Amino acid sequence: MKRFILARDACRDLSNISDYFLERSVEAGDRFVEEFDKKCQYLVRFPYFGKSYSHIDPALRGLPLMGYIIFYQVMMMASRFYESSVAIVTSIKSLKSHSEVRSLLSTFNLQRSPPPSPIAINQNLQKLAFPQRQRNATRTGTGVFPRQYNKYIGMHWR
Amino acid sequence: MQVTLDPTQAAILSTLVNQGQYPSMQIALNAALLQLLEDAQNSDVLDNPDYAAWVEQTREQINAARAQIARGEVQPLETVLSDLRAKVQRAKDAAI
Repeated sequence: MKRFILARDACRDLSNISDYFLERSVEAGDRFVEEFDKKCQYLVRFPYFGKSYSHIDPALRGLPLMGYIIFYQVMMMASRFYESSVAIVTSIKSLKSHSEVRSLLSTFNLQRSPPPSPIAINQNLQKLAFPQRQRNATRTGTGVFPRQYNKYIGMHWR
Repeated sequence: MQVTLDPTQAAILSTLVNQGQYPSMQIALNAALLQLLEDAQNSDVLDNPDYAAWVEQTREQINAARAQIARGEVQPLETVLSDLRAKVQRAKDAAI
């Protein structure tokens, strides 16, 4: 069983943000509340759904919500009633585009086994993105995953 | 390394394939992994001087909220959602 709690500041922030949207339109306020509920339901089922913000704090995760970030953490409870808790810590106005920041390594730290090195991750994902290139055993040697791989997702690779 | 999908994970991938968004579950999974990498590498903003200030402010707010949680100054999600919905309903009623 999971328990879902919100810090006092998070309650205040959510109230203020909903006020902000409601002042602009009832529909926007309604949408904010329903979207918040939807994301919380995701978290109940998938507590690690949000992005890691380990560069701010090791346990911190966050979900974007209408220009804000809902920060939360998964807490293991020493209780026979609750196997774990999701605590919403606070909600903060995102600096535009900053909401997308996260650390690559933190994504893989969620595994129980030691995380692979960034180079190993890049090589494994290059195999995913460039299967034909792997066949030619071509190595760029840069260790940096090419940023232009997006165009290959559409099966346009040669 | 073998990874076993649980029924929920398989259902999500299957839905995406059935909707025609991806030709196979394997390709949908590859796209998800590449999206993770894309997000992780989108760190250009680290050069933004405003970012360090935002991180510091965020860290302070996180620490303050954690202290509240440690003191038991918390509310269950159900209560918070109920309060928010009541407020929205009042706004709807007032708009009529």
